Amino acid sequence: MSSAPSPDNSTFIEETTVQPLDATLHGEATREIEAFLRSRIVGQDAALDAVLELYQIFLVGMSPPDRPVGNLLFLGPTGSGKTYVIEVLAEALFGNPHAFIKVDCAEFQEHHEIAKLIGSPPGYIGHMHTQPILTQEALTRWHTEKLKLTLLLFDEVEKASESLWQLMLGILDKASLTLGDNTHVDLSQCLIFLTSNLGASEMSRLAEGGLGFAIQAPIEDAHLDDKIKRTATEAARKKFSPEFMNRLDKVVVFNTLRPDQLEHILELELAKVQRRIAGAVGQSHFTFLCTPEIKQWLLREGTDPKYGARHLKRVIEKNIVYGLANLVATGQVKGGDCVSIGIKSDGGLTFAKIAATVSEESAAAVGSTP
Amino acid sequence: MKNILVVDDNEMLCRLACDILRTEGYRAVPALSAAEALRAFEEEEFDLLVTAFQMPGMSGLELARAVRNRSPQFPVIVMTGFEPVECEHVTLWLPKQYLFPNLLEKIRYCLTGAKQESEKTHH
Repeated sequence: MSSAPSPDNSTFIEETTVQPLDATLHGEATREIEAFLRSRIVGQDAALDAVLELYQIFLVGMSPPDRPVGNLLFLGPTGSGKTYVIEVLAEALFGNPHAFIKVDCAEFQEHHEIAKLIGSPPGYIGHMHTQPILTQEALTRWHTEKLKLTLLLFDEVEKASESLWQLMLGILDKASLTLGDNTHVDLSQCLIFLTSNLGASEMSRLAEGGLGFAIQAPIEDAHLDDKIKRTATEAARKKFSPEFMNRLDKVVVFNTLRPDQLEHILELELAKVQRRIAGAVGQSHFTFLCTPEIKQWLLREGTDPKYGARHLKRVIEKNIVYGLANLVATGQVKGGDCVSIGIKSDGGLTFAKIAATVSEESAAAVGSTP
Repeated sequence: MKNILVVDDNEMLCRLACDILRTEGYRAVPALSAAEALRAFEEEEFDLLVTAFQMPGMSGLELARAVRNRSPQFPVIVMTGFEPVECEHVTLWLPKQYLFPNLLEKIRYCLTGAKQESEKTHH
C-alpha cells in the first residue's frame, strides 16, 4: 500500500495498491514466433529483438498510422544471415520461407528500370505489358484471415538507383506508392527490411583480419561488438542521406559468427536434412549420423571467408544428401536403417549402415517377455 | 518453373529425388508406377519425364513409348541399375549408382535441348 497520484494528477490518493508492470514482456503469439526464430537463427539476437518488438506493436494495433509497420536496416557481411532472418520469419508467420516480396536493388541501378517495380506510365512502350512488382495484390498475396502483414525486402539497398531512392523515401515515410498507371498502393501493413553489406570489409578486419565469418579464434576484446557496430553504422551514415536514416526504426548490425555458433548452424542444417528426408519419405524413412570429423570437414568446406555460411547448405546437399540418395537408389539403404557418415584420411566420405546386433541370450530374453 | 515427373516404384528414392529437384528450383511430381505416371500426364503438363527402367507392371521403356506416342519429342531420362538398351524413345540413360549429381546435369541438358528443339520447330 502506498500513495499515488490520481489519474488527473491533481490530488494524491491515499491507500492505493501499486502493481509494478513489465513492459518488456511479449504476448503469447509473439512468444510462439520468438521460440521459432530463436530455434533456427544463431548469434543474431539484436535482429530478432528488433523484429519481435515491431511485430508485438503490430499485433496490438499500435503501429503508427500511415507508416509501414516498421523499417529495419540490416547491416553485415555476406552470408551472415540477413536474408535468412526474413525467410525464417516468413516461415514462422505464414508457414512458407518464400512468403515475402524481395526487391533486388542491384536490378534497379538504371533510372528506367524503376518501371519493373511500379510499371510504365501510360504512353510509354511497355505500358499494359509491364507487370509491376509492388501492386496491392502482390502485397496481400500471403495475407491470412488472422494475419494481414506483408514482409517486404529491399536487398542490397546501397546498389539502388536515385529513382529507387526517391521511391523508397516515400514508402518508408508515408507507406504510400503511386504506380505507373496512377494506382495507389498502401504499404501500411508492411514490415520493411533493407539489407546492405556496407562496412563489411572493415567489420571483418576488426574481428579477424578477413572477410565474412570467423573461422579462427576471435580477437579478445570486450568492446569488439561495439566497435563493429560503430563501424557498420558509420559506413551506412556516410552512404545514406540523413532523411533516409531518419526514416529507419532501427539499424541492426549482424555479428560475425564465432566457431561455436557456426557449429550450431551446422547442427541445425543437418537436422533440417533429416526432417526433409522424413517429410519427403514419410514413416519409412531412414536416419543418419555424422561423426565429429565429418562435421569439421563440412564446416571447413562450407564456410567461406568471402561468402560466410552461404555455401554450407550447398556442401551438405552435394555431399550428404546426394550420397544418401545414391545409397537409396542402389538399394543399400532402406526404411528404418541408420547410416553413419564419416571421412577417410584422404578426404573421401564414408557411409556405413549401423546395424543393431542382438545376442542370442538377449533375443531369447525378449522372446520370453510376456 | 519446369515441371518434372519422377517415376519409380522405390517410394523412398522417388520422393527423395523429387525433394532434391525441388531444392534445385524445379517443380517435381512423384509417381510410383507407370500407370500413375500416365494418369498424371492426363492431369497436367510436364517438361520432362524421369523414370526407373524396371518397375512392376508397365516398365519404364513402355512408359517412355506411351509418352512419345503422344508427344514425339518429349524428353525422357531412364534411370537403371542394368546396362542401357537401344531404344529410340529414351533421350538419356542414367546408371542408378551414379544418380546424383548426374541426374541434375542430365536434366539441365534435356531441358535446354528441348527448349532449343522447340525454338527450331517454331522458327
